[in-house]
Amino acid sequence: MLPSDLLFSHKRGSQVYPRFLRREQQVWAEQVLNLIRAHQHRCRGELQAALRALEGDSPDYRVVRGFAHLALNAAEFTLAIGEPEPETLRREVFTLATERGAYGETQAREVLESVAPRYRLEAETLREALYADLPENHLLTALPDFTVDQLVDRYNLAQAQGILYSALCLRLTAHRNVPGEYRRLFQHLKFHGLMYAVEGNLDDGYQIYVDGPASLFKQTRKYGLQMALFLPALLRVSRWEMEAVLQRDGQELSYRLDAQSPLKPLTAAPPVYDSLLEESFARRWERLGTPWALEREVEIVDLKGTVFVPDFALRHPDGRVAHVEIMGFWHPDYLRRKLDKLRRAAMPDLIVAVSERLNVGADDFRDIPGPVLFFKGKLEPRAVLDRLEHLPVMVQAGLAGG
Amino acid sequence: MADMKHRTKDTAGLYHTGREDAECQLRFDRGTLLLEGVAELPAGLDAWFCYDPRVDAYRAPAHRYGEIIGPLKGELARNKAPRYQRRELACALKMVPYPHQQEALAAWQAAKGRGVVVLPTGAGKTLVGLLALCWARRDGLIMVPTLDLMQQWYALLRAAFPDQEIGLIGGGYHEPQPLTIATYDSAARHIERLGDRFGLLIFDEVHHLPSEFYRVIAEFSLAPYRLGLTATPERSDGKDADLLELVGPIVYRKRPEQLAGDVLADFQVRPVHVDLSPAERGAYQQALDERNAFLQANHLGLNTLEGWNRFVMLSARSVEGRRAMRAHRDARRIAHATPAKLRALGMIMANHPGAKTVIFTEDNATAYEISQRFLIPCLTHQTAIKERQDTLDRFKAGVYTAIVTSNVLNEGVDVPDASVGVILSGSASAREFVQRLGRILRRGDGKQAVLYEVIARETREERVADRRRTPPDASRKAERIEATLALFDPERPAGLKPGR
Repeated sequence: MLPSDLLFSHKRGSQVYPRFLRREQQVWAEQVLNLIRAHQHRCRGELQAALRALEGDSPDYRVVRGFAHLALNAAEFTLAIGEPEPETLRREVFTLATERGAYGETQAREVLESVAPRYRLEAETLREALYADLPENHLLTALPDFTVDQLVDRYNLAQAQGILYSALCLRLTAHRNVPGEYRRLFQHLKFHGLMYAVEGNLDDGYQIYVDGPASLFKQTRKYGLQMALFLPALLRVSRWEMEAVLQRDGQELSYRLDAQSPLKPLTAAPPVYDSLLEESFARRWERLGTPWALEREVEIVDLKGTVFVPDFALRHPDGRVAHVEIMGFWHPDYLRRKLDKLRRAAMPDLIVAVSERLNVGADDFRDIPGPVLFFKGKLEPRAVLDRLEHLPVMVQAGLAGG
Repeated sequence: MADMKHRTKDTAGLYHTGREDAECQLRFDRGTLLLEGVAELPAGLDAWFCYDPRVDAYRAPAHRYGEIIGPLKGELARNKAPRYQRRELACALKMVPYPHQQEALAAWQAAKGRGVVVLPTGAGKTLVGLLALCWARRDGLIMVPTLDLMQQWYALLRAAFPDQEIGLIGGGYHEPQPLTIATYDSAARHIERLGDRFGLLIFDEVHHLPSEFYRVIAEFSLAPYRLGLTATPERSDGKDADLLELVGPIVYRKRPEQLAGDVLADFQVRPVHVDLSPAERGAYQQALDERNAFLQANHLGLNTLEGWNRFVMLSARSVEGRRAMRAHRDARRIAHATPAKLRALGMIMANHPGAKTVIFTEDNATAYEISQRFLIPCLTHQTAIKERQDTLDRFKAGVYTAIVTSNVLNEGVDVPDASVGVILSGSASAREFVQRLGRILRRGDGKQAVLYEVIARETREERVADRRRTPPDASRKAERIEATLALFDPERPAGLKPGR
């Protein structure tokens, strides 16, 4: 991300738009990266002077600084301790200077001239060696490892993130995404200390209203930074829209973004399935030849403070719907929370498949309304189909609980 | 207890199992108070609590805890909100407080442990904080603006409570303890998770608190007891009015002149005017001309904040604008860091050989330049804590007799018995001035301290210096001596010239 003074955006009506790079500005990315590469094993001060020279009097100076900021965040500088060690040298020289009784330029020169021969240095070189350990004298040891295109992508993303610094809340719309995408979306919201309220249904999409705990009392930009940090996670979802409500100079503005945006997330795509168990279950379900279609576009159940997202939905051409949740190998603490969620979701059409490796028994599922089936090793699709046929009359579409 | 364990595991505080037991309970949730297990809000609580549909419970701002808990207590099956303990603190330091320190504490106690104490720098605000900790007998969090102050509080608390672990948050540390010192920056970042762990908050240099970023420290904490300490509560943005709600009213106030002689050393202010060399004057004028041409061409004036903002905006849009802004900065730099000032500094030091001297510069580069030119130890934000402490120790012991520093010593750091101060350049805010004065006003050997302010003649600095002396806080007692040390080029004889 970038500091506020390196951000560009413009306003039309009540809409704010980030100013992404124009094509001709992208050459700066290459020049900045080349300049940084050319300064490997040289000191920070030199690199900074070279970057200043590169920007010259160009009105693009903030673009240059933005690229440099992002690239140098991924670089490493190391202290180059020389002989004599600067801190020791300072102590020695400053103490001697004090002993002279009065400070002055002449006295200083005499002190330097008396000490320098011991280190085999010129007096003026010794003067410079006093502060060899300052950050501007550190050496560039590790280069940022991204390409020009990646730096440009990061820059544009950082501009979009910067707009969210002044956000009061986010309104997200998400529809027909797979369970893993939803789960990671909510996990990231929680990870960044944000809160949400969910409305809507599978067919029309879900509205997710995002702000923070204290937003209840007054509108606050306190959570803007957290929303900016969350944005790359949103880019990982397949189908979504976002409207951010911003506050700038006492004015309420809005910033919109959706899945068509050219912004790219920072990390590689996560696996399509959360576990091998799910993946092999889905593959083998296809070979079953049943009219029940296994779908990964599922419901979100708002449990007030958290959500429940089942692994699969099962749809029959006659309109019947059921859900499947697979409980494989989990940490005991996660298991406890999962059981609590299942209880609160109270879905009678949810088939819970539980691995026998888990340390749970039928007793733990007493107050969960849907069928529970235990399995060893792999989950057999036929066992699920069997439960499905024996479910009492299905609730037509939608959820019974929630 | 098991429930408690799980709750802390869920760092975001989102998953919680308290729902199935429908008991009425209060807990802390990331800077707010959550009332759960009630179908309807008990009567009389709607001034503080709002219904939160996101979690189906009632929520209140954490800093209202002190007011809420009285009326709420009878309704609660469990109060899980405060996690701080009652703590008897026996102070191992045998210090007799000054009358003004005792009065300040009494006034704060009378205000039920909420309020701001205003004392000049050097009057022992830290000791008032220590007395407050002993009186409140609750886990305490102390906020400081700088790492130097963190060190100073740390040393004091270690000496006062030798058996107590002292926690640090900030400056590379994150170790919360029942008694903890935090920088404002780190406290603001972590208060969502810490706001339930302390019963007393002490805000050193409390005028920092009302900023948009820092105020959450007060808002997201449920501590019923709060003490603010400062020499200058006023802020140029007027937000000091918010201190009333964030900390409490000003309960005690003494100005430097009310304590001077008694506690503080006498001091004089001597403005020193230096002239730019002809070459510098030429460069200064050229830079100003270049800037002014741009301003005129664009019908801009710099007398208002609005004009300045338009200049900043326009300057970013063209090569000419960029040049004009650079010229503006050049002019400023020539006026601030002129070699003539360094020559003046040489003069001043020659006039006070062996005197404990502290030199203030506006930027690191000037501080390092002085350090290298005169071989004076230098303290900046970049100086490592260990070396900083070592340098100050040596200065106290007299191994060094001078220190040059960019703004790091601005606030409340003990520099003992310095008798000469030199301000080489600086900004106009009243607060900074009083605090810089404070550095050399420490109670010492009773000698009169001298503060030199070195100003470049006929540059905008002169106006800044005039503005600086007008605020009422800035030392009415100061005897103003209009002694102009005229310092021209080194070839020309330097000497005392009549005042302007």
